Amino acid sequence: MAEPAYTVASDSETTGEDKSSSAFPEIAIGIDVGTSKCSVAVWNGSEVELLKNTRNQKMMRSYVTFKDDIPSGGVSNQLSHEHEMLSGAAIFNMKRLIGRVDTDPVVHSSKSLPFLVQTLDIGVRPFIAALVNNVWRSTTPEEVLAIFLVELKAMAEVQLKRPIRNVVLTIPVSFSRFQVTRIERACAMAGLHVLRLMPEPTAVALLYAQQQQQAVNENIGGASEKIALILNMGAGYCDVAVAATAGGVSQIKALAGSTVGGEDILQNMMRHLLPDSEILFSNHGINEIKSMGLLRVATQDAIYKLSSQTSVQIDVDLGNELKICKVVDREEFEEVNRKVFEKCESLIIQCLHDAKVETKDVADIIAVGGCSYIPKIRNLVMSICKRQELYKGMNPLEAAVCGAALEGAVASGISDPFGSLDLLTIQVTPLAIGIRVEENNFVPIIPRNTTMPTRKELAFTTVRDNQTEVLIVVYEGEGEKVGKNHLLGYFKIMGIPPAPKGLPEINVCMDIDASNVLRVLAGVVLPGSRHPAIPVMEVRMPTVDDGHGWCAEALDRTYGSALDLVTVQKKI
Amino acid sequence: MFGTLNLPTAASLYSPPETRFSSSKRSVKAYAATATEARPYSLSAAVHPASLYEVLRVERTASLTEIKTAYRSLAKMYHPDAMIQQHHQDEDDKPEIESDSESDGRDFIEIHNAYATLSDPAARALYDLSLGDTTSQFSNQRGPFGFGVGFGFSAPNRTGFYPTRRWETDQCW
Repeated sequence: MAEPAYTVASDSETTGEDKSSSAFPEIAIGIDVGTSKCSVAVWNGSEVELLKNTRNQKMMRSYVTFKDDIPSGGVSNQLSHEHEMLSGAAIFNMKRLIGRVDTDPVVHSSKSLPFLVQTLDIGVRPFIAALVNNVWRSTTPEEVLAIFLVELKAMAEVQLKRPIRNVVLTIPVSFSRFQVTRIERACAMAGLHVLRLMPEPTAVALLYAQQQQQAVNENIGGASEKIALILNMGAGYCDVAVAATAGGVSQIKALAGSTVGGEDILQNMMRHLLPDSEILFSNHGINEIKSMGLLRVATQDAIYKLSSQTSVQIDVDLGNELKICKVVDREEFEEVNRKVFEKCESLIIQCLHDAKVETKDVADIIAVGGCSYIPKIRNLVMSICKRQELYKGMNPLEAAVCGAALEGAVASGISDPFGSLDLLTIQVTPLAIGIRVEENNFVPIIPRNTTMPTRKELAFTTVRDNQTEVLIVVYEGEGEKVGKNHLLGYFKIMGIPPAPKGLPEINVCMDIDASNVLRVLAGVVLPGSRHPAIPVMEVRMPTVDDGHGWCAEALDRTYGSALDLVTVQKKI
Repeated sequence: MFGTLNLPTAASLYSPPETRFSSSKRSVKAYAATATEARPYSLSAAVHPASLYEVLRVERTASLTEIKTAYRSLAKMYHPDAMIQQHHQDEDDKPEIESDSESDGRDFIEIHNAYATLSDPAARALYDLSLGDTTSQFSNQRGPFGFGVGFGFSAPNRTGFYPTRRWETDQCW
């Protein structure tokens, strides 16, 4: 097979409406694009198989180097040394950057990476660039991800000897719907059609469901319900799910997730070893980048070692007469990262609470992802559940991609004579979706952890006499004020018949279908009438695009509270 | 849709639900037709709607385990994802997969809502009480349980201007 051509379609290409699955069952592949590593798996007719690249690797580094004319990613590229990735020419951690604006703390924490992440703090996409022959060449997280996906696609096509179009991708639980559209766009740019985007721990839950199903088939035992707590913590994100499983059905009870992961642990440690490292590296001079790379590699190495040994000696020469020579023990490491571990703990507790599950009812605790090797993480999840051990049936680094491949086969309509694909995931919404009401308050219409597909509605009304227009501003998140949530879109209802305030009933209905498409519908009814006063509005969300950070502000500036609405007080 | 659920034939399951809020694919004509023709929801007082137990196809005395099992086996039949798979198995030559998976969801949402009530002991007890009473009271109970799948919550009587009305009976939607 020839060298893959990098035919990344233009960034302006839409994700398209062609969601139609073809009639012949092409088995969709599962892709787990991790913040640091990536893998591809596919159902081979009898089981899930991980694909390997030409260097026989199942786990490939997620990065793209812009060294030569043609960018090359971690799938095919051979790094001469780890430092090459840290020379400024390679872009990585794109999963942490995609779909975020330059006021986001996660983007700010990425400024100490070797490549350039520039923020103007005005709520637009950050400027991201790779150092190519002493030139900062700009790119976008979508473009980087698309180039990487093209490589993955080419690799899979060579091995499976067929064109690949349909994929199931795993995504972090905390991704907003706007970020999801960025992932979809990257896939479209790479010529891939997204069949499903699965929150990572739900992919693990599906694998667990299949394993339980097989165990039942072999033992001919009772197919009683088993509840699993799943913690998936990688370099970029920490996600938790509680799933009830029986008969191949994985019913997600609750999800929780946050942007906290191995990258934070790494940065905390770097700061611990070299307190003013961020200031030192902020200029992105050639020498600083080199020092930063050296420190990064040494720190990463130390963190790996601390998983198996109780203390580690760090000895690194950063150049410019900067030397670090230090012994770090596990206690110190845990203290430095106390906030990270506390966040994990609170996510687990919140998820169990949301699922209304007592720890004694949890049958298995599954910890996967790179960070699951950290003793503190393992102890933490076991102590919350008051258990002595974790579930052993899965490879922590491969569980998510295996689950994605299973979902790929199921969603492609493949069946297995032995019933191995007799599976179903019942998903929930990871974040609440609602609208803005008076005084910038957020009213959820679909609460978080609502089973999908779903359709919910709520009645609102006007705040002024003879108010003829209202603004429906849709947000996603958990904040009580809209400012804390992600804006998804907005539209105006016009032509409300003049009436005293509080009289017109404005029904806002939100519908999420099985393919996770969100539609917002709004209609107006006047008392005494059975019919809508004006045509109903139906808007597919999200509608916002880049620079959406400004939209809410602009709306506020232009309209103030003139087009507000309030919730109708319901009598229960 | 209550009626549809009790029909075992595949044909009725794949037919698009009549009162569904438009997906963009639905034609205007279909609305006009349903507005005058079949009214599967009717006014609840006129036709006795299926109880949540009937939706899950379990006895009134069913245990929690039975309810969970029933929910899962129904989910395997009526969840839109499961229906894609069945479709591939049953009717490989029919190129209408998309339209079917598009018309998805309503059956499953209803099954899930029934399950949500019956698997919660407190909500189930409350619901059982309402079942003991007359039909009209039962239908009033439906709002708080989030039973309605369509535009179907009980409009609050806050102003006193109009009686309780449910959107799902409003065929104009």
